[in-house]
Amino acid sequence: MQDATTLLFVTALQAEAQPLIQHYSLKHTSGRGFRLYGDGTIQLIITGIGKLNAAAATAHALSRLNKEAIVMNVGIAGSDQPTGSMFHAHSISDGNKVIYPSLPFVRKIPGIRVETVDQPSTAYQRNIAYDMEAAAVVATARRYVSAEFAHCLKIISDNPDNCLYDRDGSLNRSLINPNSINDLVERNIPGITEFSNTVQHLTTKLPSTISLNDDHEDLLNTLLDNTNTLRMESRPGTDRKPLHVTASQTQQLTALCARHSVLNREIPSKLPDEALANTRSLIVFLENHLSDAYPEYPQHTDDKITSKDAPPTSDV
Amino acid sequence: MIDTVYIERDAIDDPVTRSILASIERTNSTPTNVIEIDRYSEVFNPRSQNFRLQKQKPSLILARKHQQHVLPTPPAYHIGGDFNYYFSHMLNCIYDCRYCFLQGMYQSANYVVFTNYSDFFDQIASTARQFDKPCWFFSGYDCDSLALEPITGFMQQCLDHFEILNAQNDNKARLEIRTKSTQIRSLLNRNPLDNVVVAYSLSPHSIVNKLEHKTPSLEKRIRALASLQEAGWSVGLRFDPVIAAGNDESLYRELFESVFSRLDCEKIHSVSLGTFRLPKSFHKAVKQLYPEEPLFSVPLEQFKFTDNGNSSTMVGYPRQVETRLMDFCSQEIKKYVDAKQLFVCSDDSLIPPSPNKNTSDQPINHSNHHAG
Ligand code: SF4
Repeated sequence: MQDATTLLFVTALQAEAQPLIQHYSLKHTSGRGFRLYGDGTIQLIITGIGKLNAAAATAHALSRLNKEAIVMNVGIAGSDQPTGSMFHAHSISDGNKVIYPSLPFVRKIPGIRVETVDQPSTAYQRNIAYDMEAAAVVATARRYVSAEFAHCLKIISDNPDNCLYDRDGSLNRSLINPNSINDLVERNIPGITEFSNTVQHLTTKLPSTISLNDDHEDLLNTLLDNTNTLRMESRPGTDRKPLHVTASQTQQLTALCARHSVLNREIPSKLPDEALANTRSLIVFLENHLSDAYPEYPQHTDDKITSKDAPPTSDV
Repeated sequence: MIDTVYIERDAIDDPVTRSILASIERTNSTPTNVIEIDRYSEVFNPRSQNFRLQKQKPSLILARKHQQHVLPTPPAYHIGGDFNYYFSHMLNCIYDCRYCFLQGMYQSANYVVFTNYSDFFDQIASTARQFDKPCWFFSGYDCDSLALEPITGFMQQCLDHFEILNAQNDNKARLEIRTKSTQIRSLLNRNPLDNVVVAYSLSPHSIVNKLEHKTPSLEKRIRALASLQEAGWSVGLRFDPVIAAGNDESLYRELFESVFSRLDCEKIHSVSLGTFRLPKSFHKAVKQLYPEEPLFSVPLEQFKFTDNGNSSTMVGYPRQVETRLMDFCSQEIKKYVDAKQLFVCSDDSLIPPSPNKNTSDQPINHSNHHAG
């Protein structure tokens, strides 16, 4: 499993963010350009309206993190579906380009296609939600995180019966206002947190970086000082000058120690002189030390047929 | 079992699509998410997908294959025939073998099933017609041939097709169904065909447990082989990849003993043998996915070879380890079957298909063993 992964919420509006800020007790954090909130591994950024803002804010938030993150765009959208209902974007289009978030888990929220548009839309076509940021958030996020970790949840704010615009063409302010938006998101907090938890659970399936066991860690530290030089004291009985270890040799040594860990092979605590003659000979020594390190697999255990076993016709 | 199904718009009306969807819906307790797409590559090919994570719960993509339904195998792929082709009605697999090259070849672990089955059958027939000698078609190259059969029904139709070809006097088409699956109902429910070989990939019991996740046990595979042989089907054994281990000789000796003692050895069509080996780029990708897996940390070497002026690099066991394993296994196998029945894939004979043969929408496997 990876170290604690950051869950990054991305919303366009303060009113969309407020229920999340309250639910997760997020605090305003200092930063330039965008409003950011956070508490440990939960972060939130408010992008402002539109694709340009959304892409810039998502990149800004993700480049501040130096570990795996889950990106969750949460916001309102227009659709033919009932107002207040929440959908997961199974596909997100921006013109001809379509992004498909990866779904290797059971999703309880229904799916919908999201079309990211430049102007608010009242097309309300069947099973399509219209928003103004999702494609930019998810496309930007996928430069930083894998497709399993960039998602978008949309809550329906307007539909043909509750249209975004009044008859005179002005914005329907009784439908769309900070309080109503806040309310729409707040009512869906249980669904948002459940979905986020499901995605977060996936991170337990990621490999951990191979941790060197203590002995190997010590050995690496003993061999290399922090100027990447083969330490004199690790080369007893020699009056030669310290040897420089290149960046690639450091990588090779670290990889060799990791292979020793994976294969459960101890590195001798006292290395022979010829291994310490120079960095290359040390690498060769460690490689040779693994030359027969093929793991043993146990011999046959009981897997006998019993006459009661069903015929082998079904195994899926 | 499968919650999300992507369907190419062109494939929506295929009868195969409808029947696959109906089978999935019968087994699902919740409604299936069906998502329409233009081309399967939009979902399958994008980078930044994680194969390991997707393997937790793969989605299914139903698509149409437009070209190159049948491709020549690398020269080392054969079981005695002069002309050898492979085809893949499906990409990816419900099993999860740690050595599988598909993990390194594809960005996505989602299953792709090509629903235009008849186009595969037409190309098989027209390819076989070009030759006056037997022409082999290998199924289970980028998938397991039978594992998803209850849902796809592909092999049932494929066998109908080979039955028709068999009835034609000038027919030269031969089929190898390579599998680890024990979904053999579609075979046992019909008369055996003498132009078809059902070939099982087999590994020692503990290697199945450690490396061939979600596959039927060795015992179940042996039982399936015995049932098929008893029903009159020609069977093949594929010990590929052979895995080097501290105790590999005793593991494989025991495996051969338990397999051959349960079969009529004279009637075994062919036995093939190959060691673990991956193209360098696949090896790198798989090691990144599974850094904790000893299989990728044991001593491995790079081999370079050139085919038609294109050089490629493979990663495999050091030559002396590979030679020892192949010699040992060959000697052991020859205690049970005639040398003529045995085919060894050595790195000397390993030449990948030339890239110009694969201009299509899927990368080619340069490892020596089928996925299935
Ligand atoms: S090796 Fe064959 S059976 Fe195993 S996962 Fe790959 S395709 Fe499936």
